[in-house]
Amino acid sequence: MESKETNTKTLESTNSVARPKKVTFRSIGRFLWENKSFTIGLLIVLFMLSLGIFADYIVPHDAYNGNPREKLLSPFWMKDSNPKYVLGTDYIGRDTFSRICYGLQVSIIIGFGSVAVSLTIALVIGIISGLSHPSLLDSILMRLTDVQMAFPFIVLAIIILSVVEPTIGSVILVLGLCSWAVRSRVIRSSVMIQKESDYVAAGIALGASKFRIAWKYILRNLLPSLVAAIPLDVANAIVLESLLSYMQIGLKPPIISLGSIMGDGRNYMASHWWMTAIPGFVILFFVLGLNLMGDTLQKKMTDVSVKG
Amino acid sequence: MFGTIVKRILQGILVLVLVVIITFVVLRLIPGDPARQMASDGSAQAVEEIRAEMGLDKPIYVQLFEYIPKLLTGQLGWSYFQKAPVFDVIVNTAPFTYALLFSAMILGVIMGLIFGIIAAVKAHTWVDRTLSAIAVVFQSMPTYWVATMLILIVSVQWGLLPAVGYKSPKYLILPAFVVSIPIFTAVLRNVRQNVMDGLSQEFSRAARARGISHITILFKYAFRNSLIPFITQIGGQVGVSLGTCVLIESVFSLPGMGMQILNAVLRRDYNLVQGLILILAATFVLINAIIDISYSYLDPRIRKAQGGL
Amino acid sequence: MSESILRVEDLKKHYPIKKGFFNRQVGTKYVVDGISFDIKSGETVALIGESGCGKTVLLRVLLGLEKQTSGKIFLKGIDISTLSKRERKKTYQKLGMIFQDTSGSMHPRMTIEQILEEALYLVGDRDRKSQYQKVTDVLLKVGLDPAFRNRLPIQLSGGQRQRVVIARALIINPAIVLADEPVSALDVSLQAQVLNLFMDLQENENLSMLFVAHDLAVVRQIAHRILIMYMGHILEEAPSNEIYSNAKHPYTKVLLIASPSIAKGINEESFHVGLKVGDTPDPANPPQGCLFCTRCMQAMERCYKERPERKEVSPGHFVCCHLIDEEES
Ligand SMILES: Nc1ncnc2c1ncn2[C@@H]1O[C@H](COP(=O)(O)OP(=O)(O)OP(=O)(O)O)[C@@H](O)[C@H]1O
Ligand code: SF4
Ligand SMILES: [Mg+2]
Repeated sequence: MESKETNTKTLESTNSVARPKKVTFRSIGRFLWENKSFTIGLLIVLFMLSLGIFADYIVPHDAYNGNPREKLLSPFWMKDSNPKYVLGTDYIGRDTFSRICYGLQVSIIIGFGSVAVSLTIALVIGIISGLSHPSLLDSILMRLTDVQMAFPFIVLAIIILSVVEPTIGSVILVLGLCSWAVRSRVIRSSVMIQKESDYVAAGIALGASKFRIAWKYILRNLLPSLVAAIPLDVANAIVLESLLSYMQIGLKPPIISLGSIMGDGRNYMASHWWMTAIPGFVILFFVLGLNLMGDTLQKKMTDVSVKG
Repeated sequence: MFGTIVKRILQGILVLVLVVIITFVVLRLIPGDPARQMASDGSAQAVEEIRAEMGLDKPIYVQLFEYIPKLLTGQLGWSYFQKAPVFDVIVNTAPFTYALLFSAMILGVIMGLIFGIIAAVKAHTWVDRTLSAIAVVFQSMPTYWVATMLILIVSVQWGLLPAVGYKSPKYLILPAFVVSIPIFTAVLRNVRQNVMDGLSQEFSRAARARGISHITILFKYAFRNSLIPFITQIGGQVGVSLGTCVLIESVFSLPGMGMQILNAVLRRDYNLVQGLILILAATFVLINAIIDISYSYLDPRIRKAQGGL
Repeated sequence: MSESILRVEDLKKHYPIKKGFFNRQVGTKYVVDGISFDIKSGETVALIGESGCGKTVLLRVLLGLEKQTSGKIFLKGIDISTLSKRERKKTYQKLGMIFQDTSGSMHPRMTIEQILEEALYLVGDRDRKSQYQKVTDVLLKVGLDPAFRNRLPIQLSGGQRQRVVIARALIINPAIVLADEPVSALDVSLQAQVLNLFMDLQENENLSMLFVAHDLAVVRQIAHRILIMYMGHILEEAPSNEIYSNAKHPYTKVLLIASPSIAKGINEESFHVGLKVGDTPDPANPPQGCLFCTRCMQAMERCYKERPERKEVSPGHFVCCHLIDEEES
C-alpha cells in the first residue's frame, strides 16, 4: 500500500502468460498428434467423404444397372468372388462397391443437410425461448419441444413420409424436423445462464440492444459448442436415414442409400450374409469416425466456454 | 414443492393434448383412408358408405371435437383392422414393450455401472482405454443392423436363441440386448466421468488419507456424488430407448406396441395409431416428469430455482 | 461547493417473493429500502456493508439493469430514473461499471481489445482508428502493456483482469465510476496495487467514484466519504476521518473492530461492542424497530419498537440510532 509510485508505472509485462496460440501447421500437427482418437476419426471421415463426393470418378461399374449373369457374387476374400467386383454384387448383379459409394454420397448430403435444418430450428427456438424466459412464448416453445420429444421418431417419420413423397429434400426435412428438440433445450439453458451473466449485464448497461446481445454475446459463446456437436448430430442423422431406407419408408430407387443396399440383402441373408453386413460396416465406420471427432471437439469446446 | 409437482403434471397433460391433436390432424392429411382399404368390392359407393359410417366424411375439426370428449371419458375407440377395441389391443401389446424396455434398462444400466466404475478406477490404463474404445464402437453401431446381424449369427447360424416372434421370455433376450447397447454406452461414459471426478475431489482424498478403504471411498463418497447426474441421464435414456424399442420390436417381430403401431400407420387404422401414440407419449412424459420431480427433490438448488424461492 | 455528479433520493428496490403454482406473491424482500446520497465531482464515496445487504442490487438499479421500486436517480442533475434505455443514452452521461465478478463480466471469447472496443461502440464511438488509439491509451493508463490487447481474458492473471475491467469502465469517459468490490477477490499485494491505481486516477483524472466494499480497512486511503449500509438502509454516513475517529453507530464500531489494522489504533474501552449471537434478519421480514436491534449489544427497549430517525450529529455526519438521543439528553 505504501509504494504508490512504483507499481502502476511499471507495466505488467506480457511475457508472464502464454500468448494466444496462432494457427500454424505446427500447431495443427501438435493437436492431431495429441488427440489421436480425433485424428483416427478424421481420417475415417475424410476417406468416407472422398468416396462419396468423388463417387462419379471412383465407381468402377454402373451402380444402377447390373449384369444378371454376374449376380450374387461374394466379396474378394471369399471363394465365389470375381476380382472385378471387390465387394461382390447384389441380386441383379450390381456392383456393391459402386452402390456403396453412391449410398455414401446420399448419406453425406442428407446427414449434413438435416443437421443444418435441425440446428437452425434449434437455434431459433432455443435463443428466443431462452431470451424471453419467464414468458408465455417461452412456455409455448418448450411445450413444442416436449411434443417433439414425446413422439417416437420412427412413428413420426413414417406418418410424415406417408404424406409427402420421400425425396432427398423431404427426407432432409423430416430428419431435421424430428431431431431439433434436444439441442434447442441445451441452447435455451445456455442462453438463460448467459443472460444472467455479468458480461451481458455489462453490455446492457451500456445500451446494447437485445439483438446485439443475442448476436454478439450469446451466439458467440454458443457457436463453438454447437459446431463441436455437428459430427455427433450428423452421425445420428446418417443412421436414421439408413434406417428409413432399410424399412422402405425412406428414399425410393433409383436413389441409392446405404440403408436400402442393406435392405436389398435382407432376403438373401441366410446364404449371402455379407450383403447386409457390408453396408452396415460402412455406416458403422463412418459413424465411428464422426463420433471420435465429435467427442474430442466437445471436450475441447466446453473447456473454454464454461469459465473465463 | 407441491406446486412444482402440480405444474409439472399439468405441463405433461398439455403436451399429451398437443400430441393427440397433431396426430389426429396429420393422420387425416395422409392420402388414403381406412374406408378405401376396408371396402370389400372397392366400389366408390361402398367406400362412401363406410366413410359415412365412420364419420370420416365430416370436416376434420368436427371429427376432432367428437373424438376429444370420447377420449376424456376413456374411450379410445375401435380398431378397424384388429376388429377389437383399441384399449384391448393396447392391453395385449403393451406388456411386451414395457418388458423389453424394462429389461433393456436393467441390463444396460447394470453393465454400464460395472464397466463405468472399472474404467474410472483404472482410469488412463489399458483397461480404461479398451473399455472406452468398446463404448465408442458400440455407440456407433446402428441398432437395427445389430439386431439383424444377431438374428443371423446367434439364431440362424448357431441356433442358440429364437429369432422372431414371442413364445417365451427367451424371445426377449436378443431384443433386450440390442436395446440395452445405447444405454450401456451412455451410462458407462457418464459413470466413468462422474466417479473419476468424485475420486479426485477433496473429500475422497481426505478419506484416503484417513486410511478408509478404496471400496468404501468409491461407493460412499465418489459414487454418491455422481448420483444426481446419473439419475438425470437415466431419465433421458428412457425416452430414447422407448423409441428404440418400437423399432427393434418390428425387426424381431415382437408383438408389442411398436409392431402394432407401424402396421397401424400403414393401414391407416386411425384410432389404433392415435391410441398407441398417446400411450407411448404418455409413458415418455410420465417418466420425465418423475425424473424432473425427483431431481428437484434431490438437489435443493434446482428446487429453489423452480419454486421461485 | 462542487458540482453534484450522482444524487440518489430515497431509492428503493423491493422484490416480490412468489410461491406456489400460481406464483402468488407471498411477501416482499426489502433489498434496497430508502437510500439517499450525493456524490460530488472528484469525490470518492465508499459504500460499506456485509454480504447480502443489497450493495450489488443498488448498483444494478443505478445502472438501469433493474428498475427501481421508487425513488429518484440524478446524474449530473438529470433524473435518469424515469428515462428509457434509449433516452438514457441520449443524455451522453455515462456510468462506468466495475462488476464484482471480474472474470464473469468479460466475454470469455472476446479479446481484451474486442471487449474495450465493444464498450466504445456501445456508447457511440464507432471510428475504428480512434478506437485503436483509445484502447492503447487506456491500457497504459491502467498499467497494462498494450500488447495485451490480443489476449483472451482466460490468458490473464487475476490482477491483470481487474485492470482490464477498470479500463473498460474508464474508456467510455464516464461521469462516475461504480466499483463493486473491485479488490475483494484479490490477494493483499494485488489489492494494494489496484488501490494505488485508483488513487492515481483520482489524482490525475478527477475521478468521481462510488466504491463498494465490505471491509472498512480497504477504503481507508481512497474514500472521502463513507456510507455504512445494513439491510438496504444507510445507518451512518460521515466523512472518512469522522468514521475512523468518531464512529457513532454500534454497527460501524463492529465493522471497525472487525478490521484488525484499524482496530489497533482505537481505544477498545470506548467501544463496548460486539455482536449478539444470531443471524442477520431476513430482508423479507425486517425488524419493526431498529434494523440492527437483533444483533446490537446496546439495544434498549425503545430500539425494538421504534425505527430511529436519521440525525446529523456534526456537519456531514448522519447517524440512525437511538443512542444519539440518549447522549444529547
Ligand atoms: N433478482 C433478485 N430477486 C430476488 N432477490 C434478489 C435478487 N437479486 C438479489 N436479491 C437478494 O438481494 C439481497 C442482496 O443481494 P446483493 O447481491 O445486493 O448483496 P451484496 O451486498 O452485493 O452482497 P455481496 O457482498 O455478497 O456481494 C440478497 O439477499 C439477494 O438474495
Ligand atoms: S437504535 Fe438501538 S438497536 Fe439500533 S443500533 Fe442504536 S442502540 Fe442498537
Ligand atoms: Mg455484491
